[in-house]
Amino acid sequence: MEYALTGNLLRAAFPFNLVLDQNMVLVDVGPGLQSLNKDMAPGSLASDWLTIRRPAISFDFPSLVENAGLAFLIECRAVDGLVLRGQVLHDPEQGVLFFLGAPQVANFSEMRALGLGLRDLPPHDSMGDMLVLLETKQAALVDAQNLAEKLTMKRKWFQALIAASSDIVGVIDRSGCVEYVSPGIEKLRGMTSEALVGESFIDWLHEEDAAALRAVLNNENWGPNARHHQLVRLQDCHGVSHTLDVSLRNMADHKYVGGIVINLSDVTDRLELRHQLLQVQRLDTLGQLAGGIAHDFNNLLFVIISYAALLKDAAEPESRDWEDLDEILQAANDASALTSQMLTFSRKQEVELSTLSFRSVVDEMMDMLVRLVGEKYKLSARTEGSMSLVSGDEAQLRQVLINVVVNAKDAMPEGGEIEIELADVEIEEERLDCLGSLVPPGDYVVCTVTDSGVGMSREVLERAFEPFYTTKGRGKGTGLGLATVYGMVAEHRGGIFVDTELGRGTRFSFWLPRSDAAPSGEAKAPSAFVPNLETERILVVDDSEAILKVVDRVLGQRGYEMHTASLPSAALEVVQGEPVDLMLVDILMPEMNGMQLVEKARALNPEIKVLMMTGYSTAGILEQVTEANLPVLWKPFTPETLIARVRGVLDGDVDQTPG
Amino acid sequence: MYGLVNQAVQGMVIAGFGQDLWERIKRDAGVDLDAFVSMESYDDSITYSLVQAGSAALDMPPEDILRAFGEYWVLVTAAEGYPELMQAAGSTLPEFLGNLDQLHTRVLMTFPELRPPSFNCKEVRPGELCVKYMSERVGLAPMVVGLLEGLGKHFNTQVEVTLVGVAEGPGAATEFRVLYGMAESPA
Repeated sequence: MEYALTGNLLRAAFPFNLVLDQNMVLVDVGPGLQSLNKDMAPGSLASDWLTIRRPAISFDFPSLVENAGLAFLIECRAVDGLVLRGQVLHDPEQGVLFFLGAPQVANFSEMRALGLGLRDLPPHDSMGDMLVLLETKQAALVDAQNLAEKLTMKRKWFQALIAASSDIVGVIDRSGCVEYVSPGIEKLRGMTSEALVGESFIDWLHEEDAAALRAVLNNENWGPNARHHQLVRLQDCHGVSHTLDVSLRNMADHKYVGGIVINLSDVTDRLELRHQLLQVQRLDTLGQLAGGIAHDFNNLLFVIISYAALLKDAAEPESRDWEDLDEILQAANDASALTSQMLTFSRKQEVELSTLSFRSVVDEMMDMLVRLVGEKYKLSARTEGSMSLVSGDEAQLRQVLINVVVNAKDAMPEGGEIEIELADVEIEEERLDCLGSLVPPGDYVVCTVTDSGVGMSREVLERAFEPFYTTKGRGKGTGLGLATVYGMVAEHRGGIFVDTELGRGTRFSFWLPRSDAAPSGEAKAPSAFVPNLETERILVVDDSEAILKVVDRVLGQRGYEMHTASLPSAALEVVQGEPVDLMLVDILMPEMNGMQLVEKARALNPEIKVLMMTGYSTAGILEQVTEANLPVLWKPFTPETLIARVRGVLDGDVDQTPG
Repeated sequence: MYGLVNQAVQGMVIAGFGQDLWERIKRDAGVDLDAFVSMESYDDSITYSLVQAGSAALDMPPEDILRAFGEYWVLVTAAEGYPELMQAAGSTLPEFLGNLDQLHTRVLMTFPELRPPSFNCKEVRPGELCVKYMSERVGLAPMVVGLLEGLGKHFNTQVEVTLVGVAEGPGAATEFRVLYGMAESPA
């Protein structure tokens, strides 16, 4: 059966069709074309509207017939910019040519410019498919670009996060080879993280640590999600040793990670800090021990000094006994000076603070220091860098400087240069000094003593501030010099910084907080002691029988009516039964402390006067004593001092009204 | 469904209710994906789970969610993502609906795994269209209502959509009656 498309069906299927007769007259024009230009109607000459772009042939019937079957591009001048693409078919029976085509456009914009839409293309037309494909692919491309941009942003966010972290993260394989490592590694290895990929992480480590880590990685039982944690030592690219806290997690089976995740945290400073804190604790413990010993020694020395003084008074001047007793007294006084230094180290020594110019102190001391170090040494001072005042105990600060200078001198047995420099310094952030004490932000006067001596090893420096630790050999030093410096500077709420290296000398700095107060005036001269025969009643309370006896004897000889009690309860009985004028009370005793005893005694006798005694300051109680305006007699003391202080209190030199 | 659809669900939730709610909906739906790729094909269950979780989170019936989504799809996803295609498909509501089926068919070139619905649109009388919707998926008729309403807004014409009858499955058509105003121009 033969069949043919009717004209209407042809137009519906090919809305841009053309039919030409042998005279090149348009027999039919598709509805798509007619809707664009109504003048292009059947009956008009094809050449009035159309030009062949391709193939390059004449626009006549025979040429078209000859080339039927080729792909034609025909420009339709009736519509600006319209080019039709299609094919020419010759029907010899009807003597006509069919052109079946569609607009050639590259995108929907060109289509819209021609006044066409998707509706103008028949469903079988592949041009529409191509245009939709282009449009949707373009949208997909934009979507992919957006997604890539988001991923890039997220990647950069993670990179910034990792770079900002003080920890280093990475991925290694089972053999320890680096697959990824964060940029923080560059500080340690001196190479970019990318350049380290492929290197063996384990090879960076100290041999022992590397062996332990290798054993973990080689252990077949160390399976998915297993963790491992250890400290490792590593030398950085500058040769500086670091201790790293390493955490491993086996994520070899993880879909995205596919390796062993490592986290490295540099704990060098933290360990050092812990070490320093332990050192401070050790010094504190030593301080408590030294303080306790010094206290007991003070009591013993007080007894020795007192009895020796009494015997010396009774002896014939310049006699053999008198001279022997003088030797005993001198030795006891030297021992007393030693316990005083121990008390300073343990920070249990009384501090008399005043506002002073440390620069003036140093300037005044220079002549003495030059003589002290001797001719082999060139001692110089640059003090002009400090204009500030400090709140300090002048005697202690002098002692600090002497001790540090002597230390510098001893570091240079063959002689050398010692330089003292003062500077005003302001720090905005707290610092840890070489002993781990916190130096708070603020203004400081810094005194630096520099020598070019033997320097100190790390081990020596760690112990340098311990009491009785010395490198000077037996009999050449007490080992209390720097210990005393430590105690004194700590008492002034300052800090100590030491920069030293074996063979390259030492820079020793002590920092003293600046004071904004006005300079203190001259200290009041103590009133002269005028001996007389006394008549008042005195109660001495001390748990040391030896002290009770010697005080009883010294004051008894002066004429006082003496009572003694070795326990506070016994003392209260005396106060209850006797009209006591003055109580001489030790601060630390069994049953109750001195302050508690004074309160109870004053409840019984409000008029009773009080003089406290102590061998060292005890945190808390001494503050109560000061607050109560009670005078303190520091052990060991000489009989003269005892007599003078007792007389002074009885005469009302000290106002005992609570502050 | 293609990631494009899930992207649209995500866009609608974030635009209306914020990123936090979207994360919650994703979590509730058990969807562990940071982003959807428009050209990637995802299991239909992901889209349905998202709609379910959104319905629970917003305390809205799923039908309302689908209807809102249909409107969002036309006015935002299609209008902003495929403006040329939208323009080429028609300059009036009836013309666009007339080309809608051809449009979906041609889109198959780009999304070969797409199982797009078919639309048969006929003008019953001036100002009234009969739209027949055929899909192998069930339960999406409310979304078509939203699409038709969204197209009304796109062409700046008042529309009234009535669901005449629901028939789902092979060979069945869900029928809508669309009344629209005569003064039309592209939005």
